[in-house]
Amino acid sequence: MTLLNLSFRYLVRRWGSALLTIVVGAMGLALLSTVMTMAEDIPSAVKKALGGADMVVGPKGSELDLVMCCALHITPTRGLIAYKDALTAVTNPYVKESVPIALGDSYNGTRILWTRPPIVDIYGAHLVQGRMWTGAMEAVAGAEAAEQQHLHLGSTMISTHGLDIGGELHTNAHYTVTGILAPTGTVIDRLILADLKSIRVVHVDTSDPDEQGPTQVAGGGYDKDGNPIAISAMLARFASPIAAAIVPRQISTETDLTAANPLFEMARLSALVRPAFNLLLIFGALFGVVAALMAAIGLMSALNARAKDLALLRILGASRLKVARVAIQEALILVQLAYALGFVLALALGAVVADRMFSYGLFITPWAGWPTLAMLYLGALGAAVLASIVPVARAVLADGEGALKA
Amino acid sequence: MVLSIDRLTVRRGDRVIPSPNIDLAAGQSLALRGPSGVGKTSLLLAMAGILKPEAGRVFVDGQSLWELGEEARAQVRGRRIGYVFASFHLIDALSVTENLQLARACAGLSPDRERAAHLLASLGIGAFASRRVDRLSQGQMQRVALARALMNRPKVLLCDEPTAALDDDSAETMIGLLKRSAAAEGAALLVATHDQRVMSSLDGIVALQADGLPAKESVA
Repeated sequence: MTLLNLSFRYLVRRWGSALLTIVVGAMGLALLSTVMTMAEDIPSAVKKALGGADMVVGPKGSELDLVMCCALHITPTRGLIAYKDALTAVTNPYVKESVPIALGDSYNGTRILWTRPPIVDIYGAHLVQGRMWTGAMEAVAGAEAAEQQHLHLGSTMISTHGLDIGGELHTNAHYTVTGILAPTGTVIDRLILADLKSIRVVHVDTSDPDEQGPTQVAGGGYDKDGNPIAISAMLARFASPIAAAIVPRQISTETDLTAANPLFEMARLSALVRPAFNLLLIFGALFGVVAALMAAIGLMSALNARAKDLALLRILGASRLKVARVAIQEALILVQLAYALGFVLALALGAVVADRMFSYGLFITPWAGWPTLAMLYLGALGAAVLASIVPVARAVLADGEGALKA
Repeated sequence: MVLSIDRLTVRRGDRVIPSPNIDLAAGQSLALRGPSGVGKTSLLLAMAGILKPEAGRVFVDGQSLWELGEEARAQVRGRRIGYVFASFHLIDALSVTENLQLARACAGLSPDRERAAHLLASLGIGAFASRRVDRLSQGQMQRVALARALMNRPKVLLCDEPTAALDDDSAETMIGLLKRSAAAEGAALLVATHDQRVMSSLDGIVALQADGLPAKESVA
């Protein structure tokens, strides 16, 4: 029989209130852990996913929408722009390099990005197998796309019209995989890249305007080399950091195009959602405070109910420190159990959020890092100790003889 | 002498209760007799180092209990004194054996399963070792309380009205158990009681009178 066992037995005897305290505490810890992780991880995951794209130029409209569609590849396409105009817009000493991109087709739900080979430089990607495409209907798969779609060198694909599963198949032509990219942690991992000239090959025999690919919808067509006249967007890298403050604004105000700085837009989005995060943090903290109060009240009434038992411990020779230990151990056991349950809940919640983010190409760890976990643990211990101070002091300072007579 | 009481008095409100001087050697037994409310329990608590006396000294195994610091006194109480309360004061959340082991844990001693099993068997409650104490009869609880008091091999065993809650047969048995156990452990036994059967079975009797004046009647 140890004094720890005694604390545990006492806890078991008031299992109802103990369980409630554990559940509320666990929910608070899980919420705090998840929100803190998300608040930290999502912006860095977004930043990483964007790779080296300093600017995205697209049709007139919302900058955030443009970034979500053409830089992060989360939302549907939002219109087209003339390749020539985009090229003119990015012809600027501040722009180091630019790459056109066009969207419109997919393969089993994985986006096909029609573009040019320098795109891999923007995302810092390199081939792990095979070679880059050299002409139409050759494709290079991002690491995750290759794994998900079971693509390997020489694989052939029949694309689907539209970005969702279930669109009409372009059975007139198929792509051949010529290369697989190494993982980068950027959005390129979940894309299939193909040459811009592929658009014409895939859509050339289609008479339905809705089935004619992005260039036809834009009323463009193809140039003499078979390149589309209209594209979805242009990605660019700046030659100097100062360009971020100048070039997007210049393009947006002086042309019929919209230029957005992805990092700036993401920072703006973060600022917009920060109140929601803060609210969740407050809720998490409130859960924690309520759990601490419940633990304190539960402990106080439990210790009052067993004042005789604690007095008996003194009479049996226990030091005041030992009596305090018995009393405080109850609170500490509650914390351990709440923390363990909270950790499991946080993992489950984190896994759900991480899975959701993964579907957007954002890689986040489903659990908080050790420093956060340690901080929450210490916080919970501190709350338990604070919650125990009054009831434990009353138990320890109680007059043994008086308590026995009570 | 393992228990010496020297001019001990305790205060209860305006009343000062004097104790007779007592010297008990190992294996000796004595009844502290007196009507209800006269202050027997208060004196016993002072002798156990629980209730601070008004004056006087209590020596347990040569140590002046009330001259020790609080924690040292608690340690002497835990290791040298066994106390059987009139209302048992067992811990309901624990089993019989765990109540016994708790006495060792409180005194800073390691658990002793053999000792617990031996005591429970000798007191005839070995079969209830793992039963929770709140599921025992009054007589069984009394025996558990006695076993707990003996668990740390005390030099002095103090019992407060050990037969008060028992019927005649159980009381008879308890008296026998008390005497035998104390003798077997070599402990001095002091029993506060107003039960004639208890008094007649012990080595001596000291009485507390209702007016608070002690009167030593006989010591064997």
